[in-house]
Amino acid sequence: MDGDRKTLSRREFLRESAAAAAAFSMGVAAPARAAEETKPADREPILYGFVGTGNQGRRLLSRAVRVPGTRVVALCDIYPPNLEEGMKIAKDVRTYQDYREMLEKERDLDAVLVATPLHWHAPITIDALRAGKHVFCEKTLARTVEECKEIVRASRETGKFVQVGHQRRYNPLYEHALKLIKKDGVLGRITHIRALWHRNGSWRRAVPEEMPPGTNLALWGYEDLEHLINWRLYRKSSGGLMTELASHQLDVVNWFLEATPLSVMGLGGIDYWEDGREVYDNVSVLYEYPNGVKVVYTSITTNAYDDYYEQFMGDEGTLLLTKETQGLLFREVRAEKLAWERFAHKDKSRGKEGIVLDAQATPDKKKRRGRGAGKQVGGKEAQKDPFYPYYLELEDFFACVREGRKPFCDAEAAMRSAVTVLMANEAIKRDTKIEFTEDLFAV
Amino acid sequence: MGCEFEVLLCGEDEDHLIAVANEALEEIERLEEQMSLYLPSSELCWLNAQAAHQPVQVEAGLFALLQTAAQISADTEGAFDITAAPLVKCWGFFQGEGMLPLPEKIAAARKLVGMKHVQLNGAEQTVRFGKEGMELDLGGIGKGYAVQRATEIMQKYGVCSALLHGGQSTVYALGTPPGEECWTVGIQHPLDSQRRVAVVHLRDRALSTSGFYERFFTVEGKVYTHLLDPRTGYPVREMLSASALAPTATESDALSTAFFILGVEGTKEYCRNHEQVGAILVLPSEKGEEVEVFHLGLVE
Repeated sequence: MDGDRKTLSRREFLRESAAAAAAFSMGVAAPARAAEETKPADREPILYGFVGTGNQGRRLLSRAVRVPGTRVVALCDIYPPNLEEGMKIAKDVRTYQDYREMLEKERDLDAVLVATPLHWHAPITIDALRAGKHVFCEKTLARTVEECKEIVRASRETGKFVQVGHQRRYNPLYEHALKLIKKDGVLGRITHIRALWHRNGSWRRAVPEEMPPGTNLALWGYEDLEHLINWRLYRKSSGGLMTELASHQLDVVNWFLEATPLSVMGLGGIDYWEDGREVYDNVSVLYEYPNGVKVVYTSITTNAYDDYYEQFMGDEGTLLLTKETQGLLFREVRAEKLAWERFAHKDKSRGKEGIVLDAQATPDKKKRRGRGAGKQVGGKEAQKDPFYPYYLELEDFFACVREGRKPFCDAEAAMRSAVTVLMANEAIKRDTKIEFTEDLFAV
Repeated sequence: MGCEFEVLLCGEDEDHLIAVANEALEEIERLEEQMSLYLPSSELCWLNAQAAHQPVQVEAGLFALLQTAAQISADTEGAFDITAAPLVKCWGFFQGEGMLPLPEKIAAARKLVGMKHVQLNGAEQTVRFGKEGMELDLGGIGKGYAVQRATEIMQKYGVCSALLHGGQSTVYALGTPPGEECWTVGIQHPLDSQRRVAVVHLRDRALSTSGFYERFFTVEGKVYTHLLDPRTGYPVREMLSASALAPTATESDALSTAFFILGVEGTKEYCRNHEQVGAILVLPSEKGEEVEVFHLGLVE
């Protein structure tokens, strides 16, 4: 299966990537400028392997291949059709079905990107760290608390870092919202947060009738194709709605509050899609955070009216972040008018007029997390593009590899979010309130 | 694409059909993410930003689509042209309802239009523009491509009876409805959205319609439609709507635009040379009737 090593010399590659960076900065994609600044011309490209080229993996891969100064050299997936699709995005790569073989043979890799089913995050990430690679791993960090801790330990022991794909942390809109909350205090004291992700669909993927040639499921612990293709629906491989959807949003809650929950209770069930799945098709969860903050989270699969959003409520205002692209600020009557309030663009949501958040209006000139111009460009259209942060998070990941810098969303931050959602599942399962004791987060 | 897609699947196993529909719609979302000019991080925007400076490698499916577009452009003598984006912008149809530009602006935009300025390297899967300022716009073919890809996914998972449409302007009829001989689809009357100008029976075939009414503006009583002739730089005046029937939705989508621009004689010529293709053209009537309808090729 392995392809031939591409014979592009490093000098040729550098010339190509420098041209790419120059061209890139001409148009919408000026994030390249950040990479130009961080990549001296005499440095080699960052080489990486990509494990897991399913749908989400390919979404990431198609962005990763655009980051100047980097080169994907190997793709890995146990499911041959996924590998074929991956090769449509990345040409001239070697392919593997066994990630261990990839790590063994691809000694030159600087980094490994992981977008596999959840239960494979920990084994692959840990093996890659121990092989001396930095790792970008899709969210959620891992399927169990212990696995999360093992990843953090492996990262500390090897000195290699892990960045986790909570792309909201790299979204200029969220950073702008946080600035308004923390620096400008537009919400006053936050008392409640509501977040939700509501869909109307089975979440089930179609399974081919025949096994694609070259597929060895038993080797990787899958009973059959159904358990591989629909891994999100089974407890062995997934935490269901909490790990696949909620973790993104509760990561934002932890990030904005700079805290982790004190307790959680919840209800869930397999109440509608009784199709053999093992994970809840609806969850309703209530967290308590320090200072009396309550967080209500719901995710359902039978009604899409609400779509998805995070809503922060304080005694002076409400901040609503919808679909990762729209931000609205509603001020309480008792709140003092902000100096700039009357100049701000307004829009309505469900009949109420709010201030439209515009990350471009007051750009943060300070370079943070090495993203340089990346987060400032693309105009207002970029803020409306929910996929742009995928590029930004990957751009920053490679910048971290280049500079040996700790990622903003590293294993420890992602572990806090993982524990947050994993304990909700546990509370639902045990039908009890669970306290987040210190040992849950201690590594 | 920026439009609503709908899929109707027929079969026995509802769970399976829902899963297949999910798969098909997810693929359409992926293509929107890849081909949209309104999402700055789309692969097409990235390509447009770079290809004037260096060859840009693109995903295999997108590359194949560009090759198909180039072929249709050649077969229609430039009436269909994915490089017409500068003209579309010049006429204000990119993000607005259109405006009358100065002739010199049109002339300048026209210099950036033409597939001859696009180099497609099949071995490297790369795209390169011959001129700075060029842009590709897949608005005239992307919807059809999305319908085609969704159809292929349905077939892959054993669905043999389905109807799919994108924005109601491109439809593919897979097989037949249970117990029937074909799918029946109406074509909107270009002057009255409540009426049909024709009814078409489809089986394993695509139908697309381009109409002046989708977007247009009026200046001093003259109607200027968004359907621009890439060869002249000006909107086409003669046609009210053009529908194309073809084996794939990719082809029908592109051809409906091309037929609108080619007019009756050009479309006749195309259909003569492509026996799997048909057309229904609706023109203002010169005989005192409301409209004149021409059935060409397959539907003659």
